Amino acid sequence: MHNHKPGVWSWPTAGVMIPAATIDPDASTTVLPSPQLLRVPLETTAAEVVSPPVRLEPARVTSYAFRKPAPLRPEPACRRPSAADGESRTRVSPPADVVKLSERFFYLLQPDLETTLATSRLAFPHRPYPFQLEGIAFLVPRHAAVLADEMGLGKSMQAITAIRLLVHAGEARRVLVVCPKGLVFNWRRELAEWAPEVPVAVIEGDPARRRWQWSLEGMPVVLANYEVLVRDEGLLAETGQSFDLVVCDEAQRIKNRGSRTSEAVRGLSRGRAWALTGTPIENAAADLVSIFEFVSPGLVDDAMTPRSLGESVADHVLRRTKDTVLDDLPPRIDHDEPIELSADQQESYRLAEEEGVLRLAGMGQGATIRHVFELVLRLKQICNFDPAGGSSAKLDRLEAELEEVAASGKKALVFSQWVTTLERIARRLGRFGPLVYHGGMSTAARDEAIGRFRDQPGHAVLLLSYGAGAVGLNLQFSEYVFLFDRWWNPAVEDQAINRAHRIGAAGSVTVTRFLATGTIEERIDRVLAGKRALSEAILATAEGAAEAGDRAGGGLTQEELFSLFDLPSPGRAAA
Amino acid sequence: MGNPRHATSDEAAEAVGFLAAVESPPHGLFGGYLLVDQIGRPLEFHCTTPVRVSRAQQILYGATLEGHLHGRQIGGPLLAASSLAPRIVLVDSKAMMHVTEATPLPVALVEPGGEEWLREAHGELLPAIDLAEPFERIRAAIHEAQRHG
Repeated sequence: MHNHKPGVWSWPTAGVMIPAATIDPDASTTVLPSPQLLRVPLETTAAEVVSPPVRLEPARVTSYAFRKPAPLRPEPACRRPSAADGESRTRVSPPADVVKLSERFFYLLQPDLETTLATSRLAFPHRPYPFQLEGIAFLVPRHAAVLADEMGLGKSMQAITAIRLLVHAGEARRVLVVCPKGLVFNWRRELAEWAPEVPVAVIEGDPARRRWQWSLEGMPVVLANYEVLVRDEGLLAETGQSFDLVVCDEAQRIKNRGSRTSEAVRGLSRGRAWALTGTPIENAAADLVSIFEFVSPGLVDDAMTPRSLGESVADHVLRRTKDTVLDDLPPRIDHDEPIELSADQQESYRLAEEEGVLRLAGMGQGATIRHVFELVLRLKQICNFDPAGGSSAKLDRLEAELEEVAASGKKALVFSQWVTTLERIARRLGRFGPLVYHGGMSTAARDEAIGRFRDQPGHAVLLLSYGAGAVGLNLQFSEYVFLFDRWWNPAVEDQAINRAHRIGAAGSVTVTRFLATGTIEERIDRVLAGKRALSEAILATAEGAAEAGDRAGGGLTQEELFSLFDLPSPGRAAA
Repeated sequence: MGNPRHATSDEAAEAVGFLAAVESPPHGLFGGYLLVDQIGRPLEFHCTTPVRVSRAQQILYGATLEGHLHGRQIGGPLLAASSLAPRIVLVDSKAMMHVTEATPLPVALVEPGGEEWLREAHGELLPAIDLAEPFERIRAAIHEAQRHG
């Protein structure tokens, strides 16, 4: 029997109900009842209609427009980066403190950095390494940033390129770079190399001159040292100067919160603040807090636990060590470091050179190689230390660089051709535990020096003379090599450098060659560079190999020596 | 920022549009439309709320669903929202090619290996950038929009 739902027939036939027959087992007949007519309504109730939405509604759109980009025109035949060619894309990601979606879109929708650099008219002396592009991508969107890459990875180059992009995009119209006095020359040179089209004003000289320099218009980048900043702190406040970006190089200079330097830096009116430092600041909470009082006041404080401090600054700090970017780095990085002599050194050098050249010229044919050699050596020594006052621009720079080396727990080798120079360096750099190694020491003393340098953490630097240090040593745990002064022979320099570097050895060695600018050292460097190129060209051919050992690997010739002072060689006179 | 502006004739002539739909299983289908200048810098960006399709719609639209959804319901409104008429709109899927039903603008499909042909056919199209790259930006932006809620 079926259910009795209205509108549903429950009988197999319609219209007639047939009652059941009654059968009386005691009767002789069966009585069939009369059929009854039952009328059942045929109409049904309407079916419930279900109308699922079929029509697709158009999507709702949210729109964003961007400021009109600066009118850079693409180079006509620029190389198009392609992921299909295996080229990576470095994207500028929005920092965590950018919360508005439209602002986050602004960063996410920019072309990758490789495309931006390829399509702009910005020339580069050479292609940045991938990790450097990541560093630039880290800096560009940030108002508060600390770039704490290990020494030798190009922090200033990354900062300069980021500044350049901001200036070209109209995001920064006035940028102040503050650095130690000894690095002003270096920054000026690097700005000229990495951002040649960006005008730079260097704040220096007497107060009246500096006042005029600070007020110059049309100078997107202003360069000043910490001492000048302290002296002109009042002037800057009085004139209401403000900067879209302030970059502090060697930011460990402001780790002492109470110092006048820190106060002067924190007092600058700024939109963005970047700090560059090679020391692992995460290891010293107080230093980190002090630096962040410049980078992002109020973000951190002394009461924070190390963990919460680390979490707070995580998005603002980028540090890479050579180990972490090893794949990007060549095994050996050679780096010429031009050094501007101190004022005293410049004066001493000028007098010595004038006097010496006059004497040589006066000798005429009587001048010998020995006379020229003596003058060259005297001038090279002045390039190391001022003979009167003892000032040394090279040593100032070396000390600054060794601070970062030591703070990172790394070790460095320093070469010089003079033992007296090594001893003067050792006296000045006592806090780095310098050890000396030269030919005048006994074998036992030399072995002890090597052992202590290798095994004891308190010795960050080993000072070696070229002769004694160039042969038979294995110092591959040293990641930094400094050539305080140059040797005559590039092959000997290479041997010295190879104390720390071997093909196939782990780690990348950074070789820094100090060169006093505007001096005999630059002229010698040009001659040696030519000889090195000649040596490489000759060694590339098998038949030239034997000749190369005699000629191109040797020292300067008589002609080359006299040419250093624009003097004619007097012929094959006896030395 | 956030308000579409009137384009200059130079920008209209130089702009290239990139149109894509991004599937996000819990939410539905998002659309994104990025207009860039000749060196790939963004001029405008438009994105949609997610479009969900019911089971009934899947059945009833059948094979026509994908094209209709991408082209008319997502692509059409996105192109209509823009203040710029680019010289061409590039898409990265065959389904999105159905946007031609909703716009008079020229539309072309960017396929792997087909870039050079596309550039030759359309007169030195964005010579400085990889034509697949802007689609990555659209996907990143849509993902960000989802995160943002």
